[in-house]
Amino acid sequence: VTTLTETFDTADSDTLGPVNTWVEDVGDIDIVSNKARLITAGAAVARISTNLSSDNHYSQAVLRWDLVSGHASHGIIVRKAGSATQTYYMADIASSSDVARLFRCVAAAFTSLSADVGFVVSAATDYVLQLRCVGSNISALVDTVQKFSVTDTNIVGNLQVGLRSDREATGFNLDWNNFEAADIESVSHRATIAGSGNTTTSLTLVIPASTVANDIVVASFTNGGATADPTVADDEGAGTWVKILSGNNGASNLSVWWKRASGSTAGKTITGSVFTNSCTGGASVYSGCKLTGDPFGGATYESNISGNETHAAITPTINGSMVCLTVGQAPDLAIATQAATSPAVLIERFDHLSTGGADSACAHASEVQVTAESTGNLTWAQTNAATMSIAWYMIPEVAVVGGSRTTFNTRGFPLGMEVGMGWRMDLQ
Amino acid sequence: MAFRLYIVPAIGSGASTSDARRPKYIHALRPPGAWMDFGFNPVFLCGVDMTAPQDTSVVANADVFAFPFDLTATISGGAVTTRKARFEDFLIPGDGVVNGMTEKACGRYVAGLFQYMQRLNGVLGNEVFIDTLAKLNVLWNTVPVDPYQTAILEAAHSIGYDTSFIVGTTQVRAILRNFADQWGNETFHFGTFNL
Repeated sequence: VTTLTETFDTADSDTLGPVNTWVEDVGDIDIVSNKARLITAGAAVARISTNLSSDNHYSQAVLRWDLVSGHASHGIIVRKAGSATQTYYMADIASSSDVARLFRCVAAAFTSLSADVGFVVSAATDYVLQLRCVGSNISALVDTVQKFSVTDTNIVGNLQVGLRSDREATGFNLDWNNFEAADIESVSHRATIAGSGNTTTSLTLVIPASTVANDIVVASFTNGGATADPTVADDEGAGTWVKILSGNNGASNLSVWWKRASGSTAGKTITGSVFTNSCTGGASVYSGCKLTGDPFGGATYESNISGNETHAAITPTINGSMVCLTVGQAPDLAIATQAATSPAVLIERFDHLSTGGADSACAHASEVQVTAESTGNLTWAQTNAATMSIAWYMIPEVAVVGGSRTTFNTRGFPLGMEVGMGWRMDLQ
Repeated sequence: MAFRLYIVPAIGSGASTSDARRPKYIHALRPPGAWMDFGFNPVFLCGVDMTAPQDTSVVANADVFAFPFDLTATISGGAVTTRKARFEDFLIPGDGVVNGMTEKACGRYVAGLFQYMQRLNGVLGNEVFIDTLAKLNVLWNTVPVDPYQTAILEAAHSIGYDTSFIVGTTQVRAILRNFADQWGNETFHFGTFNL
C-alpha cells in the first residue's frame, strides 16, 4: 500500500517537488511561494511518476484562486496513465461557471460523467477537493461533502495521480497545496465463478481470468449427502487450499476454503471431490486482502432449523473488511436478499442449485464494511428448510508508512490525514 | 420531480472539457443525477431527477427514450416489441428485452451493456465499435481478430467476465447481451440514485 504526500514547500522552481518526482505532461506548473501554480494559459497536467500500488486510490489537494476572473477550471486527477497519454479521471471546479465537474479523459477525449454541481468559488479561499476511484465507482468530494458518485469501467489499472487545470488567459493565479494520494485500503470483489450443471460427487470451477497475484480465491461447497469435508485441489501445481471453516447438520456439510493466487492461478481449474449424492459450490476472487498470514477472520458456523434464516453477527476489526456469508442446504432452494446491519446489503456473488442426486444448493454473498463494527445479524430469504451457514470477513491489507503499521481513524484513513477526507465507499 | 432513466444521443467532440462528450438536452439542465456512455458510441443512459417542465421538454424530442417513472412495472405484450425496436434505434441489442421483465431489470440491462462497452472503449480506444445495426448481427468468426476479437476478449476478461460461451457462430449482439447480464447484482451509481 502506497501513500504519496507533497507539500510543495521549497524554493520557487520550474520543477515541482520536493518530496516526489513530478512529470509535467501538458503545459507548465511551477513552485511559487511554496505552492504549485499554473503558469501558462491553457491546460496543464502534471503527475507524480511514482505508481500507487492499486487502481483503488484517491488523490486530494487544497485548491485556491487568488482572483476569480475569466474562464478557469482547477482540479486533480486519478488513474492517470504512467506516460504522456492523456488518460485519467478528473474532478475540477470551474470558477467561470460556478460548478464542480467530473470527467473521464481517454486519449485526450473528454467525457462528462455527471451533471455539473453548483459551486461558487471565492478568491483567496482554500477548497479541499478529493477524487476517489474504487472498482467501478468514481466519486468526488469538495470540503468533505460528496458531490459525485458514478459507475464507470473505462479506465482500469492506471496507477498515477496528479494535477490538472485550465484557463483561458493569465492575470490571476490557480494554486495547489498539500497534495496527497494513497491506495484505498479495502477488500474488493474481483470476480466469481458459480458451479454449473447438476453435480453429484464432484464439481469443477475455472478460476476467473481476471485473477492476479495475491488475490484470494475463496471456494464454497455444499456436500448434500454426507457430513464429511470434500477434497479441494486445483491443477496449478503450486499453492494449497486451506479450509476457513466447515460444519455439518448431521446430514450435509458446508465448507469454505481459500488460496492465495499467484501470477499463474487465473484460468486454473478447482476440483471439489469426495462428495456424496449431490454437491454444488462456487468461487469468488477478492483483491486487496492481507498479504501475509491468514487473510480472513471471525469465521463462525451455524446449523439453522427450517424457518431460521439468520446467522449471528460477526465483528470485523479493521475498516474496509469484506463481510462474507455462505449458505448451503441439501434441498435445491434459492437463497436471496442477503442482508445485515453493517453493511446493510450483501451482494449475492453466486447461488447455484444442483438437482443431481437428492439436490443441493450453495450461495455466497459479500460486501465491504466501511467502519469496523458488529455486522448485526446476517439474514437471507428462502423457502423454509434447514440450512447451514458460515460467516467470516476478509481482512484488507493496511497502509505501512515509515516502516510501521498505520493507525486508522474511524473513517478508514490514517490518523493525521483526515482533513477533507470524507469516506463513502459505495463499493459494489 | 422523481428519478427517471433516459436514453439520449451524445453531443460534443470531446476535444476539451467545455466541449466534452455529454448527453444531449440533459447536460445543459444540470439536474441532480449522473450518466454513463455507451462506450464510444454516441449514446448516454442518464439517471436524473428533472423538474416536470424539464422532463416534458426532454421527452418531447424524437431522439429520446424515457423509461417509465415506475421501475417496478413489467414490460409485456406489444410493449416488448416496441421497446426492442426503440433500443435498436440506438444500436442497443433489443433482444435483451424479454417479456415480463421489470423496467428496473431493463434499465440494468442497458446499464450493464454500457459498462461493458465502456471497458471496450478503454481497451480498443476512441472508436465507435457498433456503427450500424448490421454489425450487431455479425458472427464472431467474421469479426477481425486484430484488433476487435482481441479487444472484446481482453475487455471482458479485465472485469472478470466469462467468454467461454462464444463460438464461431455467436452473433455480436448475443455476446453483448451476455456481457450485460454478467454485470450481475452490483449497483449502478447515478449520483445519489442507485439502480
